[in-house]
Amino acid sequence: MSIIGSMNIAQSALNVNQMGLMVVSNNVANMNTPGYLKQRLNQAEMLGYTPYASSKGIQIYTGGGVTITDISQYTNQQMLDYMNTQNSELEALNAKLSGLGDLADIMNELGDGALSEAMTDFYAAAQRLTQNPSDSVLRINYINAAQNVAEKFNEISSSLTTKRNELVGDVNYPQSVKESQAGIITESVNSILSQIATLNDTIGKMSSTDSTSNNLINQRNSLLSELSSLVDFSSTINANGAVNIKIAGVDVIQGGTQTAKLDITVGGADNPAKVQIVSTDDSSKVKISDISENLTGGQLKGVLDAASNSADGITFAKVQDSINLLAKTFAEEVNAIQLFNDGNTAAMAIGLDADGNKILVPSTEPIFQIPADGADFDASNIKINQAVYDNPNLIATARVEIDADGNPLDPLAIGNTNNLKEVIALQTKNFKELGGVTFESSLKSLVTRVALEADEYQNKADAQADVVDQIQNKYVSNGAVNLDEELVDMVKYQRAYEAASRVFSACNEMLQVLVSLGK
Amino acid sequence: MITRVSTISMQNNLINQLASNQSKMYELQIQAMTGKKVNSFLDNPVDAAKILTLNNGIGKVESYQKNVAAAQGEYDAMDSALEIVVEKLQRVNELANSAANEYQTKESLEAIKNELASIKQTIVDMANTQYDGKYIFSGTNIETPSFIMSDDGTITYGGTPQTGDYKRQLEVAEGTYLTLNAAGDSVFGSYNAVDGTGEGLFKTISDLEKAIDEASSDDEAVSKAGFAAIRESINSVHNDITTVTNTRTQFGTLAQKADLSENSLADNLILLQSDRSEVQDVDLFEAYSNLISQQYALQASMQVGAMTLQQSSLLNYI
Repeated sequence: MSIIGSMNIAQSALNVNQMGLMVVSNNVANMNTPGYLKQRLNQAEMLGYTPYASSKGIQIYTGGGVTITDISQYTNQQMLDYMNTQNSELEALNAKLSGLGDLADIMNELGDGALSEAMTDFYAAAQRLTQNPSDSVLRINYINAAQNVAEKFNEISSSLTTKRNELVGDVNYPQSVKESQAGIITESVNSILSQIATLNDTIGKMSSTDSTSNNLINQRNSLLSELSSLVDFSSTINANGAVNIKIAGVDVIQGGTQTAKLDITVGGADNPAKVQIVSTDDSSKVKISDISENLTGGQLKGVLDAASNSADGITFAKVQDSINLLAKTFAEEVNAIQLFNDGNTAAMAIGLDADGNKILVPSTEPIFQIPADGADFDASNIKINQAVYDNPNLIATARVEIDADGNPLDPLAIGNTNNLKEVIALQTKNFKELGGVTFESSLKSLVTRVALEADEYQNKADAQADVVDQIQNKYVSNGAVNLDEELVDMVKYQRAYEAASRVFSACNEMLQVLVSLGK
Repeated sequence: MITRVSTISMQNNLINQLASNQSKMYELQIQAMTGKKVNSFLDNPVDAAKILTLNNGIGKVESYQKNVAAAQGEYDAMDSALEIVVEKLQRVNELANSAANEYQTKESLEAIKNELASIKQTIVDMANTQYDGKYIFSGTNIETPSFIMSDDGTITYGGTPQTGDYKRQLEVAEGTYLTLNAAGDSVFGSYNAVDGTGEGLFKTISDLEKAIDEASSDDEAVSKAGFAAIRESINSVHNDITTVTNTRTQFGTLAQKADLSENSLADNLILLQSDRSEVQDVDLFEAYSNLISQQYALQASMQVGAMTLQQSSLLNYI
């Protein structure tokens, strides 16, 4: 028993409480740090060996002060894993939804300048032209309306291509696949994986009581949660605290080493971006050549799904195909009417006779430029025949009887609008190519299907977001910093520190008394 | 039951609440500002599809309305022309009756003949009436003058014949067409001065002119035959008046049909527009009151949030 011993005990209290304040301070400092979990200072009594003989002749021991056992934090690995899985699912839904949202925006037929509006205008222009087929203003109006339809098709087609290229790139340009959203996600996944491997390495080398290892685990958890947004994975924690990760069933991180990584390459037209898993040492060692089938979550799955032609439901390709079919049907039908000739009657444009008077002449120029090399019409190549655009008199408004040479029996019948009537009839005609419905309802059902699918995914994503929110809320509520708690702790440590220093100064006074006794 | 709540989850909760209230507010704002509750297909796919159908229907009806207006214009032009023709034919009738009097002097016969010539010219002008740049009595030969009178008095028809596909039509409802024109030759006929053949009112007037010429001849036999021919022509004039009047009546009926179409299209348009409005337009009163209650909700969540975040913290007391 000695006064110095008491002083030592007081000092241990000063140290521990100072440390306690440090932990509080760190907690307060990180109260807004994403992924940060509150740390606790766990303290215990230090066993002492300061014997004192009692009146009964036995030795009595007092404690030796206070010490820190460890700095712990709230963790629930199971919950974290579950949260990450659910988050992967949410992010996949969100990415797919974003693709569908783009589709719905491109195909928003209620917006200004929509395709169906252009079609309605075209038929209105045809009706208007029946009022006076020799009026050049009405002819120009008609051909402009037709051009507007073609341009609308082009616009939709190029928007679809651009959006899809943004997601997975263009199969003909390998660089675009790397720069696509899928490429960027792949890069991010690899970067996160290598960071996790490094953290694994450091954590493994540290003692579990070290508070910095908590910080590293927090960091790693953040990375895991980030990774779960990008791609789904499964993880296990091994004995030395490292987390092993499998993506699509393939080991990518084992302890402190990253054994495999994602690699994006050019696939086929259906899936321009092909993501494979290759060995880190040698990228020619392919472990899985296409992981899209094995993924169940994460943005990567959502993006690949949204852009894939083979996915179920509405895809870019399906919309593109439908639009192409609409464009092809429209262009072919209008051209067939424009160039109609069955041997008895034929479509007639307006020409000039020798005296410069208007007469009917056989129609030879199509309204829509025939695609080169015998290709079919589609939404990207449909365009107005420049010859008709430059000379709207070439629009075949009349359909009259012809002689053996194909010339009109009555070349002066300019007021005949039978050919235009056929064009107008297209508006209500049911096309076999479109599944036995009108052009209008085919377009309408396409747009409705896109919107309904987006709606469905919106609902799924909303429900999933609720699930993720709930788990996250629970996890964060249990683990993150509560300011009031920290303030209470702060006062606690502050008071204890004050008390210990009082004890210290009392010991000091006693020591001085002792020293003066010896004088 | 959550027993421990971290500060950050309280803050996050507040942010989520505010965000969801704000997004509702934003939606209501757009509705109130555009006056539409369906602004895109994503808002409500089924209603949006319905709006699209109605839009197309409205577009069609508006086209039909323009066609009806064009038809009405052409009917009016035709009716005015034919009205003048009937008036002139009645004058021809008077003149024929007056010329049929065998005591007429040569001078007065000459005057009658001159007036007839001028009437004939007027009728030719009427027969060549143009509407919107089209010769309305030429059938489908809209760029060709309907009748050309040459110096010898021959009047030839330039339009498409009555037989065959001479009709010009405008669609005024799905599959329903209004015929715009009468074939000029069936209304006015024609006349060949070389062999004196022809038909219709042009032949009648030309014959009458010729008969008056004969009637004023000094040769008594010729003159007598001339007066007989004049008397005969009176019947023809009557027939011609009937023909023209019939045409007027016929197209008067069509004009009435156009008026009916005009009314029913207007009704149809109102119906389609109100259908569309029902699906698409927001009830403004409802939108405003929703907006205001949403505003209260937003304010309340802000106030509560500010209170929990700022005041109920130990920070304020130690």
